[in-house]
Amino acid sequence: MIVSFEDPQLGDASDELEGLGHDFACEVLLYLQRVHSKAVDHRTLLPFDTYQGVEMFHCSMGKNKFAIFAVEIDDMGDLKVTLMLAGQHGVPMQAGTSSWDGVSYSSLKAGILNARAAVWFV
Amino acid sequence: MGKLKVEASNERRSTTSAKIGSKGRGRPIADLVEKIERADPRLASAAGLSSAAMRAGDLVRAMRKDAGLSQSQLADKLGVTQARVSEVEAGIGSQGPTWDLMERISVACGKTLGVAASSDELQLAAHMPMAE
Repeated sequence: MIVSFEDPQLGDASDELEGLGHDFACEVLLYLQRVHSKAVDHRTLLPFDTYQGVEMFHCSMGKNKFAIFAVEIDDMGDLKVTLMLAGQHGVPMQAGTSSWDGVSYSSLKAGILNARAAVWFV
Repeated sequence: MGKLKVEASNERRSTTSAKIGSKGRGRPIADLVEKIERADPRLASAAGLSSAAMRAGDLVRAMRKDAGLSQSQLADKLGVTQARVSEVEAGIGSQGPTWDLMERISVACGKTLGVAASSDELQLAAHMPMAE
């Protein structure tokens, strides 16, 4: 299944992706479908971040727009792909009490992404 | 496709499953595709995205899981490849599975497929067989 992160405090990844434009959104969605169907083997991708064993990946288009998605595997080998976040380099983000300056990926991982992962993967 | 960049790993990792998980959380991504379809129908179609195909895929996956079948086992019952089942479940393509295929899948999963019509939309639903 392909889903998107949503939380009353921490925001909605689907809205974030749509806000970056439909062309970019379509590219990301097509890629998520390929990961979900295993046409793209996520094990050959470099994880952007890992939260307690759950791998998250970064995809981008051009210099600025990016999306982060997580991949989980269940006991039957089926994948669940979650769109965790979508943003734009140079554009700060705020989600709950966490924020991102729009520049440092380290602070994005430690801040918003970690906060979202903590409420999502339990 | 091809505009998107994703960094590749140096080597293929082994499969690992985390002890934690998102369980049933998450809004179906078909909701976003539906918004794009309404705002820009030609873009979604040209890109090969269909919210209906994705929702049908989610239904197939739910029926298969409920029946305790793997994708390969369902594929064997249908006489198709596992890759085809995987494509259907991912909602790949702008057309989605045919009604014939959906009926065959539901039968293979021990379900009965039905369509419920309301004033402004059609809803596809799978039902458990009626108790005898």
